[in-house]
Amino acid sequence: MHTTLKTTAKKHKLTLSGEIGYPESLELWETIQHIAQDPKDTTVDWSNLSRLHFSGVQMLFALRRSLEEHHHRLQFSEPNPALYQQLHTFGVWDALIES
Amino acid sequence: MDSLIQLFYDEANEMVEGMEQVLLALESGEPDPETVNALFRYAHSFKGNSAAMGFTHLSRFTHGLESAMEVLRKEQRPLTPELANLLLQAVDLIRVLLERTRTEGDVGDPACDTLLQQIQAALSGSSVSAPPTEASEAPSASPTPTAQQVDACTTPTTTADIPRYRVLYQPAPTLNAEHDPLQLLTELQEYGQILEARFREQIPPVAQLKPDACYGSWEILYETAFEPAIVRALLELSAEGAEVQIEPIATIAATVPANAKTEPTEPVAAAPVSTTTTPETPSATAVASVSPAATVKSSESQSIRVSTEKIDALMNLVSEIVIAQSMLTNAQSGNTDERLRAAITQMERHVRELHERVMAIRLLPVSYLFNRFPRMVRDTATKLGKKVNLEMEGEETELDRTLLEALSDPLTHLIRNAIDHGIEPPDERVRQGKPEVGTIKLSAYQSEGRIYIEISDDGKGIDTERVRQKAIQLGWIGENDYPPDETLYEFIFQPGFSTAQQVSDLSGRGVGMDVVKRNVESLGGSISVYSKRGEGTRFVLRVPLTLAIMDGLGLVVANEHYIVPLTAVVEAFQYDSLQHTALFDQYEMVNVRGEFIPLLRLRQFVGLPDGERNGLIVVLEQEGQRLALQIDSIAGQQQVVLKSLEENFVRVPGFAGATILGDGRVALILDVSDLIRRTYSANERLAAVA
Repeated sequence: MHTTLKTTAKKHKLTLSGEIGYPESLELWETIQHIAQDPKDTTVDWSNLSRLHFSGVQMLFALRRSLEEHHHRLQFSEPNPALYQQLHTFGVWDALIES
Repeated sequence: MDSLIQLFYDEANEMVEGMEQVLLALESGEPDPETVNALFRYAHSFKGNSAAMGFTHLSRFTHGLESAMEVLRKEQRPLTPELANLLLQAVDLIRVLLERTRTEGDVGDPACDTLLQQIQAALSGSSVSAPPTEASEAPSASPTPTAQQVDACTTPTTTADIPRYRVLYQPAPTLNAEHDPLQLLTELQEYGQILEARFREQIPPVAQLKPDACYGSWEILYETAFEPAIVRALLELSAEGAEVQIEPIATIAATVPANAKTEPTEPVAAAPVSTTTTPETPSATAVASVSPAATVKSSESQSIRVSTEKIDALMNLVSEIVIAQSMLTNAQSGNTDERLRAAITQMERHVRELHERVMAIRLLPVSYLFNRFPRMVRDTATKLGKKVNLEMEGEETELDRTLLEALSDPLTHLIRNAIDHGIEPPDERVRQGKPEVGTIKLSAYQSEGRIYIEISDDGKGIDTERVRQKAIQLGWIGENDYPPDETLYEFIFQPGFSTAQQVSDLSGRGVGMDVVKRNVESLGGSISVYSKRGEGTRFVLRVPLTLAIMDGLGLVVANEHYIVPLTAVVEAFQYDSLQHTALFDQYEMVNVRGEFIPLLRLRQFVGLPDGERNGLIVVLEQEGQRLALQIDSIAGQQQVVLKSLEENFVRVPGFAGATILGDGRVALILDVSDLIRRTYSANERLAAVA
């Protein structure tokens, strides 16, 4: 499993690991739709995620927007250095985290 | 895709040639950081281009070479002869592999790993076993350290002279397993450095998101030594529908006329616009923003590659237009309609300009040919234990591409001969008071509407006595014959002639110089040799600027038309018997203002019955020698399209080719050099008899 979701009364915790290519991102998509239908503050733990298809990146952007519409926050744990380097170099990190 | 592959091969060949030139320059000169950088860039570009084409073996091999060059560059090591040899062998191996990819696809060779190992050993100062000379001869080495193991550093260092581009990348609209823009950008980093990337997105909330749609795009400041076309291909070919714009970040001064107003030359603003770091993550590098004021419109469109077939087809078409235009001019010669005459005159001008411009496309600097010789001289001299310095001049002289290709073999042979037979071994040169290192000069220049290529050496010169003895042995002259040096020099161009005491694999088989002469003459050119015992030899090749179209003067004899190149015509005047002198009624001369010029009656030469004995005299000149040609009348000046007699019929002595006149008739084109040579030789024989 590359995507696991733990839900409490107040929070979701989405854990991503390994390499999420396009097929795996469809699994992520189902989970994200589930979170969007039950909006709560959400933490993404991606410390063990080494690759994320751009499709998955867009899903995280979309999730943040959906949660913000309901005044909830999307927070991220420290990423895997390789993934950070990639997202940062390509300008995605700033847009997803900093903006 | 075919055009992309062709582009790859074109560039790959240029890069391989570039690597070789730089290696030779490094070997012969002082270590120069910029030259080493250039070498590194060639290897780096080649590696990336090969990878982009899927030629992983080539890419891996050049990756290893790049690493070796990186060591040279970073540690400023001198290029030892041993290392130079190995790197030059690597260049040869790349050529072999490159050629094999055309038919066999992505192929490798065991020699690659062996050679990389040897290069690595040479760099580290350990002993190197004898390297293989050819890929096919390479031993089947057991698994050896791969290029990755040899690799020391593969990330290109940012240097000021690596071009920078502003890349706008809009990925294809649909995402799938094969299309991941992040992956493509990661691959882009293999070929250069992303200095800054601005991500733009319009990603909707989850309810409106389509998981396979792409909502993002990038604006990238990118530094790469690759051609922009390769970058474009990488991004565009991955998925249909991607849009890529690439603009060079260049100085305005480089692309506008010198008198134009220029913008500041520094293209990149110094201040970073965004730096982001997180304490626990790798530190982000400072990024720089693109200064729009300093960017210029893409230079990609300033030059394009066009296949030679297309240019040849265009040239043939222009040739046909020249003939049609000539026919039109001929057909309207009696017409008094001023408007028609003016229109045809204008058309003549345009056709001439069209011809000149198309011809210019076909012209290439002779450096394309000359650049292959430094390596050849180096290898040949090394093989023969001689020391030779090759000097080149006039590499910018331009010549028709067809002629350049045809001159390759003759020049190769002449240069090899100069090293093998001309330049003495170092100890012998020292004994004779000459510099230990011999010099071969290769020069090109244009004069009298022709291109001259000279190959001279400061070697021992032609031993005329040995040539004479050989000619006696071959039965060409008698034992008591002592022909002039010029005649003896001519013998070396005869089939089967060689004075080499030992047959080497370089020269001395006696099958070379006759082929050299025949090849040059088949181009409408000529070759002369000048030599001085103990001082050296000089070969002079003269070839026309082009083989396609020329300005000619129409000559008429017995109602037959002939063409002579206009560049060879000095003057024309009415024949006057008072100017005429004859020896034995055959050795005829014309006195032109005190200068006696051999006379050739064209009517007699072409075998027509005697007729008009007066007519006109046209004085022709080639290579400093003059000929008075007697004809009936002049038909006028016109552009003519050369058609080869040799290809369509047989070679005819005295004629360089044929052409179609405006009225549809065929006219023979006179070979002025050959006519002069024949007339002078005949006269010399008569003089000798006298």
